[in-house]
Amino acid sequence: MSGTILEIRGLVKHFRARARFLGPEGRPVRAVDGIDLDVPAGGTLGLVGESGCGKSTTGRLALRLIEADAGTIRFEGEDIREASPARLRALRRRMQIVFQDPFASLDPRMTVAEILAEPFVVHRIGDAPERAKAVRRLLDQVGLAAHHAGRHPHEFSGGQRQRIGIARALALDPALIVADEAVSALDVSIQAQILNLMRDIQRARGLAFLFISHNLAVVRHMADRVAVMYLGKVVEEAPRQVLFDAPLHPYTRALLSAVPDPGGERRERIVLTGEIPRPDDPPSGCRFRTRCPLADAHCAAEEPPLRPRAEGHRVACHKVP
Amino acid sequence: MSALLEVEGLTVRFGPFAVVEDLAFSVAPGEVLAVVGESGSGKSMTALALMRLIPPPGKVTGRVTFDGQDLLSLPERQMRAIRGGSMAMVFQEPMTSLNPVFTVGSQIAEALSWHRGLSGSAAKAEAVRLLSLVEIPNPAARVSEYPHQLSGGMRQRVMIAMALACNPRLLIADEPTTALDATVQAQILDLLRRLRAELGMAVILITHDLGVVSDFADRVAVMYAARVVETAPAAMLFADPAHPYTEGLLASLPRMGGDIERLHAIPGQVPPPFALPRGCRFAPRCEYAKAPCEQALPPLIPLGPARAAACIRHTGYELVP
Amino acid sequence: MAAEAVAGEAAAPRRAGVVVRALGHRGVLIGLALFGAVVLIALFADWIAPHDPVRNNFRYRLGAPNDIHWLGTDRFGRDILSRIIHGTRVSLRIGLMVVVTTGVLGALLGAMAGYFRALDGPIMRVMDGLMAFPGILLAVSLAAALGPSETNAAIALTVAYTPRTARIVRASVLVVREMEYVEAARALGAGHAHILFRHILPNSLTPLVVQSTYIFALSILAEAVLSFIGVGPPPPTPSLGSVIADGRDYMLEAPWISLFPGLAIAVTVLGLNLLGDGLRDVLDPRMKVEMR
Repeated sequence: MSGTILEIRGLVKHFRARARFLGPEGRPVRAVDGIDLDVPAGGTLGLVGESGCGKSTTGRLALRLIEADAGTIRFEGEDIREASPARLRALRRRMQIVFQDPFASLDPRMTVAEILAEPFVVHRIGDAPERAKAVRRLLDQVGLAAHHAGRHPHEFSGGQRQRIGIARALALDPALIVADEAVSALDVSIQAQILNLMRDIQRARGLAFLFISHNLAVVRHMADRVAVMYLGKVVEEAPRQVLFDAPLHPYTRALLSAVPDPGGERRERIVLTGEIPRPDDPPSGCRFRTRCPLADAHCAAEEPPLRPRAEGHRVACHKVP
Repeated sequence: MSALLEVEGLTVRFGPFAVVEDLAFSVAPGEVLAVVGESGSGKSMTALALMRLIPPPGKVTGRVTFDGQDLLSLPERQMRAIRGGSMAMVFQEPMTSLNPVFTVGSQIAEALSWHRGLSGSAAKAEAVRLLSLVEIPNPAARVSEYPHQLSGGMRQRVMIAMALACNPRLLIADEPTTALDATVQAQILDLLRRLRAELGMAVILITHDLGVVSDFADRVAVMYAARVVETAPAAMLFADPAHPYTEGLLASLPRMGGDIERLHAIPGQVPPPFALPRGCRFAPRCEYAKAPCEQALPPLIPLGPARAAACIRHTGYELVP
Repeated sequence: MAAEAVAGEAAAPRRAGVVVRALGHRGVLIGLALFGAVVLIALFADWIAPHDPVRNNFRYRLGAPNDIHWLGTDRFGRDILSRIIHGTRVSLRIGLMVVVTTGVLGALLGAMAGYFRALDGPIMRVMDGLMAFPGILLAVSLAAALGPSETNAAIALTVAYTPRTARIVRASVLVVREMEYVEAARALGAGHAHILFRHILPNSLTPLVVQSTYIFALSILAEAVLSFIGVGPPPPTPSLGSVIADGRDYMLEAPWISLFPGLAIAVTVLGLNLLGDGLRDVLDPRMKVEMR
């Protein structure tokens, strides 16, 4: 591991509700509201949070699949928000994405061979026989057989489709893959297959992952560093071991305590009251304060900055000493 | 204490294919039985079969004795009185299970008028009481809100309130927390735990999530390819799984405690109902499988009180990987 | 739920299923048989027609159906059966032209409007403007302005019906553009043309297939109207509409002149509508979702 492959600073994305005819304009949804993240080269940054916290939006912003409102996104030192369309297309060879839904992420009308050859077609790499060879190699790498190439996505199970999605992401030999809930739709026994596959590929190729998931146990298994998001903000970020063994932010602690560990001892659970506020109307000050057992007037008045507490451990909370 | 629900030889067929086959289990009053399995295992079909809600052309055979009555031979009129009366159900998706054009209060009142003959202000008062029972804040105001005004967790609470309307003796919960976030899931599980203790109702929990099982269930039935492969008290199942499938499933789960370099992955995938292997259905994926496993379906072999597994290694047959 | 549990992980092959299901659908079969017969008649008109459709024969003017002229003759003594057989040809030719042009134009305009946000307003407002006129009125005035010819009739009908196809394609493009495989293609660095033609259009055209059968039927009807009021293909070439128009002054003395071509139109349109309804049943997107 050497240095940072993806460096995100001050990233902001507000979705504006479409103005309705003769109606009031909706308040913008502050999906991502000023976050900093670093993905280590060859390593894995886990991004966790509950639905609506902005983690998937962050993943798409990081690849410029949607346009950010503010901030910088440096990929291998280059700000991709400044890249020209042609430059961006070239950069896409180096950064890829694996989606959650193995049904929706493959074009139902294309064969597996066509799906896997598409990256080469788009970038005009190789001729037909070379592409066919590359398709066979990719299938082999993700544990599928060469005779699968002529089939359509609907002939495969969820796990096999996710292998196809991973193979497509690997085709152009990227340095970074954003995995957006890549195993969330899969059954446990299949999930383990895919997680192992992703780790093997990472080892073999020195890939970096931005691994987005709501499943803490899966992130704990995969990540080197972990960032926790809540309502568009990163509330805590730390090396994996530190975050899971000694979490500081009250939200992280509640989140961790909410995960039942099968067969493990039943831990003291911090049950949060209420639910996540609406992202178009976040609370003043600290966004977590409406559900936080520690909150006081200070938390409502002032938003806590993400401050370093220890080596590589940052927390955004007034109440953490 | 005699069993509240006794199931023998329950089989659900669609055409020539059995999606649930030869199921046998019992639930004592106040007990929580978890039915665990991956997609396609037949666990949701089991829930529907118990409620006699299998859609045509499905055929249900076997014996389901609830509170001394044979449910499968009951006339539809009497079954309707039981359904939502002494036997209630909660589904996974609380949005589609509620009718969007009626207030939650009127939907609860509807159930109250069918089963308990309440109407008007009595029904409304009872609806408010039920909403407060499921810990919905400000129930007197919430009762006149529409489903879309509630968050996912609140809707699931409303569904539970509706299920509780007639003091059921058995609650069938089909993936009740799967669509919810971790912190909200923890709240709902706590609520179910409290209600079960206070109201003394038995619960059949259908889930794929072993964490939820260990958190909530007294006893577990593990399903694989339409059949139960193991039943055991929850603690025992996690400490010492008796069936190779259960063993593999537990080993393939990323954990919150301890570190595993590589997850155990069960190879292959669940066979579909139209391509079942002849012998043990897990044999093609089992690391212990030997020739006899492929000869005949192993029956559930009792392993002491309340414990059974369908694997020939418990008949004295030596199986080593 | 049943479908999910039964089909489960091993989704049964679907593509092959569509053809099989279509051929098992009674509406599709009857529609195909009726329309197929009409197409065959049009294709082999020269061999099938017992007489020359444009040769006058004043000895048999307004002749009732008999064993030589099975469906009678018109005021110039021309054989009605032969004129219908050849007229089918013109009607189908116009229908085909309109289906192809409305299909191509509708697909392009609908795809552009659905895919490029900035073009959506301008394109669809023009389409709405065209749709504000009753289609047949628009076609009649355009055909009158352009002058009577087969091509001009097709052009007029294309202008009248393209808004329909554009709307339908746009609606399905709006759905398909949000699919993750489209995002995946963008993440690969694919350009707009690649995404539109490789992913979005192929997955958006199913509803257009169904709509095309209706537009075919509408065009045949509309052509008859254009010919009837004299702005369709010019005489003496028979089209189903012009044959009906020929009988307009002799409704009482020689009803067969108008009656039989009217029946021919009815059969053709019935076949197309049955085919369209059947295809809609078979290809219905909601069913497709269930099948997944």
